[in-house]
Amino acid sequence: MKKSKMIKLFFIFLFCFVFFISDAAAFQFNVDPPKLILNVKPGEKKSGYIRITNTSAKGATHIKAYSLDLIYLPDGSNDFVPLGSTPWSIGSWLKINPDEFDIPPGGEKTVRVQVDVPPEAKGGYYGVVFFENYSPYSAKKNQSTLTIGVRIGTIILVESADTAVYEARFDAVSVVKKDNNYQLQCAVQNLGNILIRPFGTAQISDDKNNVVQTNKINPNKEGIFPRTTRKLSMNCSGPLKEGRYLARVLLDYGADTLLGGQTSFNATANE
Amino acid sequence: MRLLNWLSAVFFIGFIFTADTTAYALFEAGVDSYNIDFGFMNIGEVRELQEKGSYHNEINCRSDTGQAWYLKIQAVEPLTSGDDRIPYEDFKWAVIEVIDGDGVIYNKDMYNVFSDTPFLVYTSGPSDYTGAEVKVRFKYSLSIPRNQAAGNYRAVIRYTMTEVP
Repeated sequence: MKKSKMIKLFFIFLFCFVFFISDAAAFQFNVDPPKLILNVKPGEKKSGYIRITNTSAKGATHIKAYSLDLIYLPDGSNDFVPLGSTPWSIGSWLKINPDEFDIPPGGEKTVRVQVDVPPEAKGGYYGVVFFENYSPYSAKKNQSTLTIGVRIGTIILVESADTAVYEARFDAVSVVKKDNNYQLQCAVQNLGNILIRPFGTAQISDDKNNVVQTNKINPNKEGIFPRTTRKLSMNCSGPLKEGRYLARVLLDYGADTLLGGQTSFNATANE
Repeated sequence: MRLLNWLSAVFFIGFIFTADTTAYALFEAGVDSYNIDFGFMNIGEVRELQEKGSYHNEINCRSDTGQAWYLKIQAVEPLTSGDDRIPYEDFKWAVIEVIDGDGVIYNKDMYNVFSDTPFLVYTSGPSDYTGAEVKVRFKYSLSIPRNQAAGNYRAVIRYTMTEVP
């Protein structure tokens, strides 16, 4: 009798665990890959595949897929703008199939992304395909209720190596004092037709030409879209004694040659 | 015959190896609760939603791709009831904490006005690229303006997770 009570208690506990503990996530899903690179020649079609998995413990997920253009914001993240808003828009060349579907818990769906690149296209074109899931509206009277949407993006990079032009220059290289630290700022202009990810080092030398610091620039290899300028900033790795210094910046942006720039500055006593 | 057995064993092991080498990227986002409901509110009332103690809901993000990612928030539209709208400046969000993440939290513990433009909430740090779950915890605030018409106000909040290009 005692044993059967224990068994009952065990099943009650199990029921509570399954229906309350496992309900920790109302919904969640996985998108693979988060970045899709398609190397396509002008005039060609190419497809890529994105796998969406409903990783929720229960409940089907209704997904809508759509594409937008991308721009960089000063904070290094992106804003998402309507198709056709940017010179590097993939726009109407991109087709998503299927663009709306349900996935049962634990299930997955493969979505085909096809680009049909016109013959006159040159260099790189960029956008994002979002996969979005919304919670259902609740219908309570006289209440302020919010619907929650979660969307995960796959960045689409369509590039043609044959027509890519890598060209960049420094618009400005400067060192500024911020909160008693020095910050190196370089504005890099992408003059080419392909996304570049300039990265490299900045060496700081004193007036006797001794290298006192070597700092990494853009270690995460964040990009700069074609025909745009982006300011890359980094804090100097340590304090500098009073004196005159030279900062030399060397960046690799994918071209055959490196991009170099320099600036001199005076370090002053901290306030 | 022995050779045949040996070859079939090699084939079998090779098959298992091939089947096991399929690697899938982990790039996942989810929300712990559907419920963001301010309930019945009076004109002029201000209400904070933080039903789980210091926070109200949690966005779970995971990635093992080795690439930087970020999370943004927006209100796709203001709280709307028919033709009436509660202005964006009366509807706010705040990040209270980020669990198991070593990235950058923007405007932590500060209320931010909702907008239809996605607002940067969190940028991943080095340990956030290895598949560990990062939990971003939010609370919300709504104030009903003095001259607001009564109604069922509804809005859509959207969380966005992407890598940088």
